Amino acid sequence: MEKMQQVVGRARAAFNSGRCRSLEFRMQQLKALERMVHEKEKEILAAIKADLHKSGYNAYSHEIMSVLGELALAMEKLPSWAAPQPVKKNLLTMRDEAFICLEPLGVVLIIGAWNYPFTLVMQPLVGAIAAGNAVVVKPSEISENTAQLVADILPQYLDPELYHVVTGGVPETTALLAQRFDHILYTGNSTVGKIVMAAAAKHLTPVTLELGGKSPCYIDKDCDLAVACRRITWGKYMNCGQTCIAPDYILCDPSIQSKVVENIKATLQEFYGEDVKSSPDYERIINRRHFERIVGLLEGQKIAHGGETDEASCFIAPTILTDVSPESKVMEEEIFGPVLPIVTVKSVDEAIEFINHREKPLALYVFSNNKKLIKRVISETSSGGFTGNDVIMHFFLSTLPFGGVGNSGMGAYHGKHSFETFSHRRACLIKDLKMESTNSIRYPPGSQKKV
Amino acid sequence: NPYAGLVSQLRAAWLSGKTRPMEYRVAQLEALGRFLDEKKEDILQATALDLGKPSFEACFGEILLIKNELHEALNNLSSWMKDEHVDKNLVTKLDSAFIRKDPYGVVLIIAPWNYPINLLLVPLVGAIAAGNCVVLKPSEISKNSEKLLAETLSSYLDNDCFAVVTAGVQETTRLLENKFDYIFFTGSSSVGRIVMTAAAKHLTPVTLELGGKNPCYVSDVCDVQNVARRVVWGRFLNAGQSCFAPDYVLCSLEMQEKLMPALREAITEFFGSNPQESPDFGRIIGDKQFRRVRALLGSGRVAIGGQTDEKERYIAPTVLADVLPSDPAMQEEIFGPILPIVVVGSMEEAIDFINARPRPLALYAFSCDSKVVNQVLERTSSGGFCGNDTMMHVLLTSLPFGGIGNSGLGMYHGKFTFDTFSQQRGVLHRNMGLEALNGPRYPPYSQQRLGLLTAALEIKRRATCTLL
Repeated sequence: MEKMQQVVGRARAAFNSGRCRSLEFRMQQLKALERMVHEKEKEILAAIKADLHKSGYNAYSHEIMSVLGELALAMEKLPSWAAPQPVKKNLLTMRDEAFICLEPLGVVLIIGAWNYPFTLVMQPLVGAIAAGNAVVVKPSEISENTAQLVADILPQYLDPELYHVVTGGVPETTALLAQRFDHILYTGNSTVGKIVMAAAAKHLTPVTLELGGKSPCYIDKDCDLAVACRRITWGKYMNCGQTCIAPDYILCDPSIQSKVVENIKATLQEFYGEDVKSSPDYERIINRRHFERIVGLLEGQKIAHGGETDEASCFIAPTILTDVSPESKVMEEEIFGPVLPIVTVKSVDEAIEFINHREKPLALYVFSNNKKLIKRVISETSSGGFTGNDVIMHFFLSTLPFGGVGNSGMGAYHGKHSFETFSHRRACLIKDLKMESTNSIRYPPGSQKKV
Repeated sequence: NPYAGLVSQLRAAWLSGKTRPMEYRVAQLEALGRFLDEKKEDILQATALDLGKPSFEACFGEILLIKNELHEALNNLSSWMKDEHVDKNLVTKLDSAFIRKDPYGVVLIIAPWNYPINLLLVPLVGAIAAGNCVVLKPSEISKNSEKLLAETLSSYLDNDCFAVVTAGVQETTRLLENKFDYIFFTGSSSVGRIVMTAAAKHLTPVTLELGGKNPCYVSDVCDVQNVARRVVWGRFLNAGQSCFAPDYVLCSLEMQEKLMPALREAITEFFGSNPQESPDFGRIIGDKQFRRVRALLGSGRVAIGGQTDEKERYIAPTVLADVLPSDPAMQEEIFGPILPIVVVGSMEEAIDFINARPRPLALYAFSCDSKVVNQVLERTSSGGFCGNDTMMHVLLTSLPFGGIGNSGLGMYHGKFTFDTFSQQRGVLHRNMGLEALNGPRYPPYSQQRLGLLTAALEIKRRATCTLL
């Protein structure tokens, strides 16, 4: 506890020194971070590989590229993002200066997750630094290699008093959450999300919670099934299904169920070859606990494809389940693994009702040639984000806010949204001390005329 | 739970989609406008009974300001509701990418007693405009206003989708056990914590409009008469019971001397020689609050005012001089017609004083020297800031109104209210064709594919940077 108090105390003192208010300083730090990503690329890829059995190419495109993109965007836009925004004035304030100042919040806490262990701490960090805050980063202890690496390299490049990395598990995180922060961005599951928000409530700390849930994927009868299944296969099985916005389950008409299975099977062959286990592009489950959890979901299910497992290496083959019952275990919790259940529905109405009866998901996907149908699903459902005719891709457009709603989270980030998440919008009105006569209308004694 | 039935009833209405079409929202907003017109006299009477609120203040603060917000919403609703198209990158160039403003669902608005109509209905305007169903919880302390709202609002708004709940502390605790899709709370920081803790159980996002001690720095270089009038206006409006009122003054000893007669003059000009007889000066809301505020009079020395009348819950417009940071008046938000003056040696000292304390909802600085005003602005942090006046930044709806740290989280007024009650949903609508373009992202991976992907997704930095 004391250690956490010290860390936060140092960050606060460094913030109060005022040096991260200057845009020049923030740019310097962002540039240093960019240098770090380039210079330490090998080490970063190695750490991710050790944690998730992820190939270098995979890790680069999933984790490093998005961070470099955020860095480049922040450095380009910082002057315009940070500039005071003049606002429209009314008759009473016509002669005054009225603007919104974007100011840092103070000391912010970023808690990362293990599935994309590098980008999920780095992307928020870019926004927090750009907005002028001091930051404490708590990477997930489950992806221990990446956590240790981040703890080692960040202080080599960034101002060590302003930006801290804290490693550890539940006890350390609990101690950290007892401290006062000015914003907390947490990525993880809903259960812990509630704990984070309750801890934040004690200090009236605003939070951004990037949680999860079961992201539905509806496949309409009227669509190019081969293309749809290719895209779904890519999004579902990347990172061995351990992606918060992976299509969790499929909803489709029973008449196309077997075609869907066929197409996904063919795509899997194309992506990973005959022997998936020996493909360098296929990852592993993060640890034994999650391995056993996911295997448990297969119980009593009709396995149309896959199902092979190897406990020693935490390998689970890309698996498809058909005719899944909505009440089964695999339909109760977020799968977060390479198991794709297909639940049949007779119509898009049934699909919409099915989706609306469950918790609001982080992402929602619909495949259809019918634009109107897609628009209808969008307007009659609720979700953090949505991609039509593809999966995952809304994550990669930084002009779209990335976040959840309801059980899948609150708040959003990416690009400018990160900057705004970590800033306070301070309303400023500067009047003239003269010109008092115009004020008399508002002073007592009051009269109907004055109103 | 006594409110479970009501909440599920509203949730059913929400799921039916009733509140989503623009025509519906417009109709409800117009009905709200009719409520304000037809019940004007009742509103003036209720707030007069609750707070001794002068009819001028009630007309302005509890009717006009709400109508302003209504008109702004009605005039702009279609553009606020529109999908906001966003810039695309190379990979998404041919797609449709936009931000949708989705309603949250069933939202809860809890209002305090000091502006009992305004602080309930202004958030309501935004909640309706954003397409939500709403549970309204007016303050039980402003009894007459609560009664008016509970008994008459239902004849104007659609009862399937909007409900007024009357509840004391115990019942409100039970109300908060239900799941809402958004909670908007205005009140004290201590209750704000309770609300956020309850919200955490359901992962419900919140906006908390809280309070604190709003500092008012007066530099030596200023037009004393004007400062005095603006400060007196802000401090004694609603008998000091405003969350964004100037709570205390920081100035030099010389300025305290100069200000005193100017303050006295302004008070007399506004409220006459006996403010107790002025129709333009309010009363404290209740006996408990009256006794709390009265106890603060023992701070520093009473330079102006200080008279009280318990029967009427009247406390005279009072200025306390030579107040020490350790005095009772400096330990809590005053929320009454008492203005303590704390003497500081310099602007530096004033800034340090302010920064050593929790960040306030509002911060005021007076100076004829614009550099001084800017220094205070730049070196402090607060919800909002007004230079050379008090309160006025709150009246401009193009400025967000909200706190920071202990004074709150989130913001509203104007479009910000609509945004507060809307979920920003990112939508990417792609083409089913052009599958070849997706090639680089699929396994099996290769160096060549990575190169293509990098080129498509990565944002290149411009060669020059004017800053460095």
